[in-house]
Formats: sequence, C-alpha cells, structure tokens
Amino acid sequence: MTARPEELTQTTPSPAAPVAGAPVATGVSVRSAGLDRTVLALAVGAALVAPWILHTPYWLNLLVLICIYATVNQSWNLIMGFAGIWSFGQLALFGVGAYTSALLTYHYGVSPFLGTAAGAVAAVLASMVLGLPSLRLRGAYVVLLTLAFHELLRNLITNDTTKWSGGGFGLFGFGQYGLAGLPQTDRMMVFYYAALVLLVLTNLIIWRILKSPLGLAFRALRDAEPYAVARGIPEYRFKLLVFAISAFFTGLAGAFYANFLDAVGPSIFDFGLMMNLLAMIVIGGWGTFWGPIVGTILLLYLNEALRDIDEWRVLIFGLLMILFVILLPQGLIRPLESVADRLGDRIGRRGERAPSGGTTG
Amino acid sequence: MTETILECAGVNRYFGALAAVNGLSFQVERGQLFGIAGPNGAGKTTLFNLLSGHVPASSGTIRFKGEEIQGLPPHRICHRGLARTFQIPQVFGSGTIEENVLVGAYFGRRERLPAFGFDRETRSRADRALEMTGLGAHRRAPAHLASVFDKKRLMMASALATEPDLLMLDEPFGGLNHGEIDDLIALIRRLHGAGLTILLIEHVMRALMALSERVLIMHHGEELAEGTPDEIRRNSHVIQVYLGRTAGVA
Ligand SMILES: Nc1ncnc2c1ncn2[C@@H]1O[C@H](COP(=O)(O)OP(=O)(O)O)[C@@H](O)[C@H]1O
Ligand SMILES: [Mg+2]
Repeated sequence: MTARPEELTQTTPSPAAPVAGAPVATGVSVRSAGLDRTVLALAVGAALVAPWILHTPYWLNLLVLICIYATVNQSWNLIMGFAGIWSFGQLALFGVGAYTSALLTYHYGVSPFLGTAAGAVAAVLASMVLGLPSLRLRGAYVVLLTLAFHELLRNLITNDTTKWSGGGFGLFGFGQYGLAGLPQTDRMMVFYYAALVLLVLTNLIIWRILKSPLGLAFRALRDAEPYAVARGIPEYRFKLLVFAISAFFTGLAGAFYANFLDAVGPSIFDFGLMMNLLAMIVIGGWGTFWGPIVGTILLLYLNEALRDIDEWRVLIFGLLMILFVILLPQGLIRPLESVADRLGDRIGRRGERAPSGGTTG
Repeated sequence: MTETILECAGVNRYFGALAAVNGLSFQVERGQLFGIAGPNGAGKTTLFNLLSGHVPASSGTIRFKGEEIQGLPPHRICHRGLARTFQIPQVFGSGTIEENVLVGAYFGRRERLPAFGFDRETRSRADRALEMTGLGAHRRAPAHLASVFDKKRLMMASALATEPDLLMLDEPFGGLNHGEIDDLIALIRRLHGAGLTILLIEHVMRALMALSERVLIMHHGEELAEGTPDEIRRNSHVIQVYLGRTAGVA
C-alpha cells in the first residue's frame, strides 16, 4: 500500500482533532491507573444496582438499549476514533448480526444462542467484504463506499419480494432466548444482566487492545500514516483486523438486539438512528474510552425524557452534535475527566495526610 | 574491504510529465555517511520516498543488501533494515515520546502478530534508542507537544529502535538553531562512528560537507555531480548551478 505522495510532505490532521488548533485526543487515558480503577468500580457498581432502582419494564427496556448501543458505539469508536477509519458501515454490520440470527432461528430453527454467535461471525465476514475494497481507500472515499454498503443492504431487504427476509415488514416471534414465559419484569432483568455482560466484555477487550501494541499501531496509523508504515506497521492488514474486531462485537450486539426485541425490520438501517449513534459518540467524546459510553447514556436518557416533543429530538441532537463539534470537539468526557482528576487529587492528598495522624494509634 | 549496501540503477519517477527523479544511479557502501544535496525541488525527498517504498518507482532497480526492494511496501522495507525520517516532522502525536519509540522497537524488526504487551527486548531496544538520542528524560511527554528539535530526534529514535542497517535522514537540520544543529551533528557523528550507514539529505551545506564522506548533488531529478566533499567544492558545474547561490559554503 502506498500513501498518496502529497501526504508524505504534509502532516495529515488527525481525525480525532478535526478542528485546527484543537489538542490532539490522547488515545487511552494517561491518568493514574488507580483513578481509572475507581471510576471503573463505581461504574460497574452503579450498573449492577441500577435495575433494582429502576425496576419497571419501561426503565429496564431503556437500560438494555443503553448496553446494546454503548457496545455498538464503542466498537464504532474503535474504528473511527482510535484507528481513524471513516467507516459508516457500522449500522449495516449491526443489521447483518441481527438479520443473520433472526433468519437462522426463524427459518431453520437454529438455537437462538447459536444464532447469536452466527450473527457475530456473519458480521465479521461482512466486514471483510466491506473492508477488502474500502480499506485501500482513504477519507471521503471510505465514507462513500461504506455508506453505499449500508444502502445496498437496506435496499436488498426493503425490496425483497420473496418475503424470505421479511421485506419491509420484518420478521417477528423467533427470539427471547426461551425467556418468553417469564413475567415481564423478570425477563427484562435477565436481559439487562446479559446485556451488561455484553457491554462489559466488549469494553474490557477493547480496553485491553487499546493498551496493547496493536492499539498503539491503530493510533499511530491514525495520527501519521506514512510515519507508522515506515516503522514497520502493516497498514492494510491491521486495518482489516480492527474492522474484524469491531464487527464481531457489533454483530453480537445486533443479534442480541434482534432476540431482545423478538423482531427485525429494515428500520434497523434507519438513517436517523445512524445519526443518533454518531451524536452519542461525538457528544461523549470520540477517540476517548469513556466518551461513547457517557454519550450513549446521556442521549438515550434525553431521548426518553424529551418524548413529548417527538420529532424535535432529532433536530436537537443534530444541533447538539454541531455545537459540540465546534465548541467541544473532545466531547463531554474531557471536562468530566478534569473534574474527576481534581477529585482524585483531593482524595489522594487526604489519603496521604491521614496515615501520618492515624497509623500509630 | 567494502560491501555495497544500497545500489540504485536507472531509477526514475514521473509525476505526469515531470521527471522528479530521472535516471539516477549511485551506490552507498556499508558504514558510509552519504550526503545528498541540491536545490529545492531537485527530487531529493522523492528519491527517499522511492527508497522507503512510500512512492513506487516508475522504473529502475533499487538493491538493498543485495536484494531488489523496489515494489515492496514501506513496512517490509523497514523490516529489511532501512529506516527513514521525514522532512516535515511526523510523529504519532497522541502518544508519548516513549510510545513513539516503542512502535519502532516493536513493529520495526519483523512481521509479527501483536501480543497483549511489550516484551523486555522491545522495551530495552526502545530505551537504548531514547538514551542515544537524549530523549530519555522526556519519555512521558506527549509527542504532539514536543519542539521541532525533539520531534526530529524522536523520528530518529523510533528509526533507531528498529535497529536499521541504513538510516535515511531528510533535512534533519531544517528549522533548528545553531546550538541544536551542533547537537545533532554530534549525534549523527556518534551513530556513524558506531558503524551505522547513513544517507543524509541536507540543505545546510556546512553540516553536509562536514559530515559526509561522499556527496551526491541532484538537480532537476538528475545527478549533477558525485564525489568526496572536496571534489564537490571544486566542481565547476556544482559551483555554477548550486553552490554559487549558497553563501558561506567554503
Ligand atoms: N506527489 C507529487 N505529485 C506531483 N509532483 C510532485 C509530487 N511530489 C513531488 N513532486 C514534484 O517533484 C519535484 C521534486 O520534489 P521533491 O522530491 O520534494 O524535491 P526536494 O526534496 O529536492 O526539494 C518537485 O517539482 C515537486 O513539485
Ligand atoms: Mg525535500
């Protein structure tokens, strides 16, 4: 793979710093591991307790969706925020996972668990079909090709007159992982904890990858591609690899989503949904680890809170995204982190002071 | 006893009708410090891009350690032991100084499936490169905040971390002040003294002439002259076309 020659004599702007003069997003947090662990423990603790406080089907449904979309968004963030590949095929791969598991279970009686695994594998295969041609391209061409892939899938399904895929109406009544008999709230509780496992596992693995040499390679390719390849990083192969990793979790989330809803339909490819997911990542802070998670929680909550004003929500999210891109391109997570850092410092200082007065007693 | 480490034969690169590199042939011996100079737009950087695989040659052969490398992708050329820096500093900005060097140390030697962490050998290669270039004290600093001088040393450090057989430096002195130029000259001398083969593009003739054992002068993509610094200084062609315009060569 050769770089466009003009890129060799110019420093290419990092996609994580879309605004000139904006500080480059530091990849993985450089703060103390202790604080990260505290934040992580608090987050997981809150996630475990949440369904007992928000113990109604309505809220539980929202919590499950948060877990699913946060998984999708973190996987998208891995490609776009950390690896700097402008792929808009994310929702299409989510759809591949959902449809694969739905079709296998609906038509062929495959176990929904096996179907879910197959959804993840199918998304990986689809990501290779998408990645092999598009990852040789750059910037806007990647956007165009991945969007075309998205549209192609949407059209194939919407215009499917054989009804095998369910066409415009979709498919129903194949999922729920055999939990359909449980009382609604109990069922939702099981789904919630399963979705939480999906979210936590995905994020742990992505965190580990980002901290590993591979994560360093992804960020190096994003920041300065000619330089990265000149230091021995096989660009194309690693881009395919990051595509496959991201697609696996995306497809898994898609398959889980289909089984949770007990339905799939072409609305899964809805362009508004894609924009909302993008808004969650951008507002939270793309190219940061916690940003997409915070953004997903915030926007899905707002989406519910603002239910009364319905179609104005898309407009509001769009405006919010624009405001963030202009005023706070690093997303919400930066200011939140500095608050956390200051708190961490204060707690740390108090912690240091305490032993001097108390250990001898 | 000398061994030819790099050999270019009839290398061309066209951009449309423009011959940026035109029928260039030269060879570099192992352990040599080989300088390349020439006016802006002479094709020096393009030549580096051909050697490092960033831009494919239109025709000609490039032999490195006896094997043809034209047509190989840049990461494979790096694995074979040829590492370069860039005229306009490029660093992996979101990483620390140390992480930049770790990239070279980890990926620069061979094709490898990444593990979950950095092995001791990689870390010690990176440490050596940081110490050699005097960046050890800044290892935790984010690379995008580094000064031009530090960015230039950082590109060298990450190149050295790949333990190259040939180091190619594209105008390393550009944008540096006198003190920094002296420091960098000393660093290049040390590396050369330790036996490293260096290909140096430079506009600052003082530095180039002082360092190089052989010098190639390029003009319009072609060779204008090649020889020892003394021969170059006396070459009437070079004086007319190039040196005449550069004050204070001596
Ligand atoms: N990617 C490119 N496309 C078109 N022309 C190029 C490209 N890269 C370099 N050139 C041209 O090739 C010539 C040599 O450029 P370069 O190698 O950068 O010169 P030098 O490094 O000696 O200043 C210049 O005329 C330049 O404009
Ligand atoms: Mg140049």
